[in-house]
Amino acid sequence: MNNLDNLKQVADEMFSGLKADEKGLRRILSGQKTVKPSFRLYRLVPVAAACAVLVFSLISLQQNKITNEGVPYIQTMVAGNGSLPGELRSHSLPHGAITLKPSGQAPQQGGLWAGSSGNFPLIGVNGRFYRLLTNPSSVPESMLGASLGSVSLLTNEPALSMNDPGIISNVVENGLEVYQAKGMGGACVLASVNGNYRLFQRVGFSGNAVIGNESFGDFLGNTKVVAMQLSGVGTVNDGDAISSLIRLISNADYLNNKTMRTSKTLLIEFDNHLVLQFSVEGDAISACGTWQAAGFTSEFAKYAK
Amino acid sequence: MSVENQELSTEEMQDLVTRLYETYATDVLRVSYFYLGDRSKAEDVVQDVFIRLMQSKPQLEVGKEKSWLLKVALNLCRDHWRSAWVKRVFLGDEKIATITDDNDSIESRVEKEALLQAVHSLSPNYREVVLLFYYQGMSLEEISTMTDIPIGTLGSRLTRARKQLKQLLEGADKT
Repeated sequence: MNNLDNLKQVADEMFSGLKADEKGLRRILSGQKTVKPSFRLYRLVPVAAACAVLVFSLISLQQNKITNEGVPYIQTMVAGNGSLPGELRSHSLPHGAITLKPSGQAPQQGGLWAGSSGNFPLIGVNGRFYRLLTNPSSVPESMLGASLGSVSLLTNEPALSMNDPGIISNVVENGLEVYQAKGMGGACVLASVNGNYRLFQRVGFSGNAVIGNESFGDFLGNTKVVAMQLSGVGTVNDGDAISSLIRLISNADYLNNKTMRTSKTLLIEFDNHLVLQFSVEGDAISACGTWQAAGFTSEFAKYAK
Repeated sequence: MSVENQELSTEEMQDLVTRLYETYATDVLRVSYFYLGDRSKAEDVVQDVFIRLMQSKPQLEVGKEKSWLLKVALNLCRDHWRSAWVKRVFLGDEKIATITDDNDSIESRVEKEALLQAVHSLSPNYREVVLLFYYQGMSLEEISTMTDIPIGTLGSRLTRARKQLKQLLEGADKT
């Protein structure tokens, strides 16, 4: 097959997901092209932005001095993007801080995944991708399982290196080890980010999701589930109900390699206090690819408190 | 026979752009992506090509529309490639990622990816002629008309490109 005569066939096949879409045409016809500034101006944009940030920061500091004197405040930042160890982060809570207990209506969305862009903080281990979760802020070393190897490539563009053998990441430094999480099978991995072991959940990335004969059950871990919460519906803590729901989603049918962006999430809490997150739309559930678990939502609602 | 695009009304021009976009934009996108290895830049190229078509209203010879679109696209790709020189030199050449809907066997994928990667790693002059000749199925004469490069030069580039590819692929097999 390594023959130039087959180049068209191979390229068309390997780039089959690359198609010019209607949206692009509409943008062209409506003349909505992003106008880039001229070269010189373009070069000056970062400088101007830096100056603006500096001025803004100075003004803010001055104002804080006047208005916030004596008022305690917490510095926050998005998990995975920082470089200062020990800094407090939004949603980065101590291990076990999130517990799914029925207390009225479940919140609309969990939002445990760190980063919102296509290049969210991730680790790629031989074609399997794991996304950083904002919770917990630090996983105890006692939960580290077998080492999967160490990061061989730290890159800002993991999509371009996803076929590389070995372990890649855009957040875990080169040379740091990636571990299985005890009792969690292939559902997640652990690695050090800014000095703390963080949890990364298996997700689909850039068209890569399921490998071989994996089923949804492979993304759920092997340890006991103690609670499940479906946003806007409620929480299930009863052991028998949980078993029935886990059985239902473990046998879900594979739909595609995409991860849905929905306003509904399913949080699953394990007895080791780790919580994983899945997007839900109707009976479709996704994190690593999208799966159809017929009757899941109605079954969940039946048990939910 | 040529279409006198200068005389087309805005509506007719939009119809022409729509027709050409629907017919060739995916090809232009894939060639640009193959050249650059960067999806967002390849999408920018497609947008620029069709906007240029709308604005400059060139006289397109019937049957040669694709050549025109690819010519403009390759010019833009060359600009992008040159402007990313510093990044490439300091960070190294990045590998081209495949974007496929298919579930291939790993062995078959590795082999195909090696071929794409080898073509992508050719120098721009060789890469262009390989893309146009083997990927887009154009004859050397058509490529010569399109690029204003003599057929003899194109032929020798193609020969050298083949030789380089052979070495690259044999090297990949050994690793």
